[in-house]
Amino acid sequence: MIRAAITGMGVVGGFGCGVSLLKQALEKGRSPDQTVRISTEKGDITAPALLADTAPLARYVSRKARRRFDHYTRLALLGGFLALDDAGMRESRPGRMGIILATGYGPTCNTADFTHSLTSDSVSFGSPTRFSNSVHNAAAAYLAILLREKGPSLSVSQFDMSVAQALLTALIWLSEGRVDTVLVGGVDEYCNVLGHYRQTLDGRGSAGAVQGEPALAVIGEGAAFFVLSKAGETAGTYGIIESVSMGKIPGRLPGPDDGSPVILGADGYTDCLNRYPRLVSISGTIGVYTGVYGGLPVGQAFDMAIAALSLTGGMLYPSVSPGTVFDDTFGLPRPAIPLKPGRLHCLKLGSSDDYGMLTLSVN
Amino acid sequence: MTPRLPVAVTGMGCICHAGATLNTSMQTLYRGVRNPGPPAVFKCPLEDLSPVFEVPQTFLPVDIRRRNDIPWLFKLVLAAASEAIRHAGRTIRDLRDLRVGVCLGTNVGTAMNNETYYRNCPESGESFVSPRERFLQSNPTAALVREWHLSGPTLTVVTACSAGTDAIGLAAGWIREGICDLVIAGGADAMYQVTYHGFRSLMIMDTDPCRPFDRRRKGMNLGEGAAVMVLESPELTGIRPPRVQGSILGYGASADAYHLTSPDPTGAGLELAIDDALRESGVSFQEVAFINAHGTGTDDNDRIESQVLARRLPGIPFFSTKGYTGHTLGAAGAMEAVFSMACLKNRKIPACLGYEEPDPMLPSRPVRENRSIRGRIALSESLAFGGNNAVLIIGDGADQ
Repeated sequence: MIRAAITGMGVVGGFGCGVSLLKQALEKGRSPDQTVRISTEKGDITAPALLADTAPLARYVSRKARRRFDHYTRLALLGGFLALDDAGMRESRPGRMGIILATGYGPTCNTADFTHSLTSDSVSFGSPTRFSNSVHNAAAAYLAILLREKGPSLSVSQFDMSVAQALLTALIWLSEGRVDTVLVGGVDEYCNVLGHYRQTLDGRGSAGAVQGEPALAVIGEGAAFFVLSKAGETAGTYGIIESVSMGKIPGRLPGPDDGSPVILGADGYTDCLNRYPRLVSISGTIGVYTGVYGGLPVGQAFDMAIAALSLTGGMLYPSVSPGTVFDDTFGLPRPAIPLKPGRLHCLKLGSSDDYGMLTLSVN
Repeated sequence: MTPRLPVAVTGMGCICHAGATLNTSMQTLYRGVRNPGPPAVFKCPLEDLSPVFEVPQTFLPVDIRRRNDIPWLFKLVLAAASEAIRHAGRTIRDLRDLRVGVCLGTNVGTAMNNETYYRNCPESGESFVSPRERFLQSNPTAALVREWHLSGPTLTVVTACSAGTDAIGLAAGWIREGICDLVIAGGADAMYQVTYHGFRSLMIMDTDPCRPFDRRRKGMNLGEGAAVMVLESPELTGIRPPRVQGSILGYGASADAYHLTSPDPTGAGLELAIDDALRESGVSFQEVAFINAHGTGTDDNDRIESQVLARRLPGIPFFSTKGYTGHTLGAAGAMEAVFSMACLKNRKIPACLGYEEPDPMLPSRPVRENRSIRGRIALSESLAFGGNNAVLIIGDGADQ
């Protein structure tokens, strides 16, 4: 399989907008405190959340154009533009570029709104704009339109395996010569439906946890995008994607045997405190950063961004987990540690005992 | 992009309004019949409804029909995938010893997996179903992997109406890159009131049975179904008696980069996808025996597609099968790919059902009657919401 150079990166999430604010949050060990109001059957409540502000999109898109876009699309556009800007490729790009967008939930708010608008007697008044924006590939289409990019455009939705799948496809496209560059990223947005689910967990604990134990997941949303080119032809500003592997876990997944650190996508939603130790053997140092960006299906895109920053800085950032129980379970290191082999892995366990693993290295 | 090796297709399956299997669907296509009706899966108080092409329950194999632990969409997938595996001369047990990937296109399989929850939340605290559970129940790829205990990579493509075409093209890449021994690839979508009313809100649905490329066309009709191909690596086809049904020669994809809901009037994006697919397959357009067009029956789509075909693929007979199946969205591209491969084997293409009166504004016209064909290569194309274009070049398997 071909290797890909990471030449640009764009991130927006609860930590703020841009690579420098992500770095800042990693160094401080926290993102700014936020809460979200959730409507429940027992009235409104507030919960901790890591939500993303898309106001910086004004740098790239006119106010008139922005009005057409829902929050989900704005997240995708902002992440994509930031990455291209970072790679120096927003205005012009050599050769042909493909766009791949990964999402776990898709444009959830729009879908919920459109579905609600069709209830009872209002069936004839569904909004065409809401419907259009509820289609999963709308955000990637807007990216292509604004960038005037006619290369292949793909949207994939494989829940928590979406990011690994999108990256695998990007490597294949580069290997095939289908494109010269790929803009690939993950996007998920918060909506009240998800907040309601998270709040329900508070009475149950995270899935599989002891009944009544507090839920550990922190609501998250955001976008993380990357500009990839063939390694060898281009130097990677943020290192190289050496490989992407995924599949069903064969009983127990042998972790990487090179002793290099592994960033786990443990976000508190899917019984991760039990599942990771039970299903994976890891010999190297472990890092968890879901406390910086929150719990969302495309969290692995943020882990990849953090891995890339760690590699270029030569240090593994101190872990920022959603709770001390994570630190104890995984033995997470608090101080930053030097990265000796110059290689990092990002591992995400999927919902049905499948996995996606990314391996990054310095150039 | 340089020409790539053909990828063998060893089995196909299809379930749609036209038939319970690929064979029965092809018989319906050649007979030129259809019988769409008002939506049965949901009640609608409105008048002037667009007819739909639903799949009758009786089309499902009894063992699948009787199951009450899986949703309707997955029943369709299971029916098509089971047929394809049988057609390939394999058993589900065989698959467990191989690196088997699943790559399916869908729309409602992802967007609508939360429908019940959306409706009830937050009014009822009793509606608790976790997103993970909803995903596992409704995502056709995840459900098939779980049902058959498969081990390889999985991908759910959500590029709207081109998703089935994209899924097969991407799956061919998995085989060529050595990621899988075998891939189950295709598409599936089911009738849902949300999509129905969504398209209704866009005012692109015909209240009569659709008429692709016809002067009087007024829009599309929705359909449902699933279609699946089994793609195998050369190593796998080499170690057992050949059972090749055809091959995927090339795949091209592009974006119009023009508008969310209207196709680029120049057709430049579609041409790019056609050129890429031909380049990857290493064949010239003169070798293409026929084209299975997207042909939804909407004014814009058919006009632009007709212009591109006249310009880029002149003189090649074409048709749309949406007059037999309705527009099955994420399944459409896969369905049209299996129909195309079956046409190559049968050496016969069906009439473009619904097309009667030529439109003077369209520079190319579809076939009005069944027609024999001689060539060994077909082109199947999909144009999607969001400006996605995807094209497959399909061979009859003589290259294997």
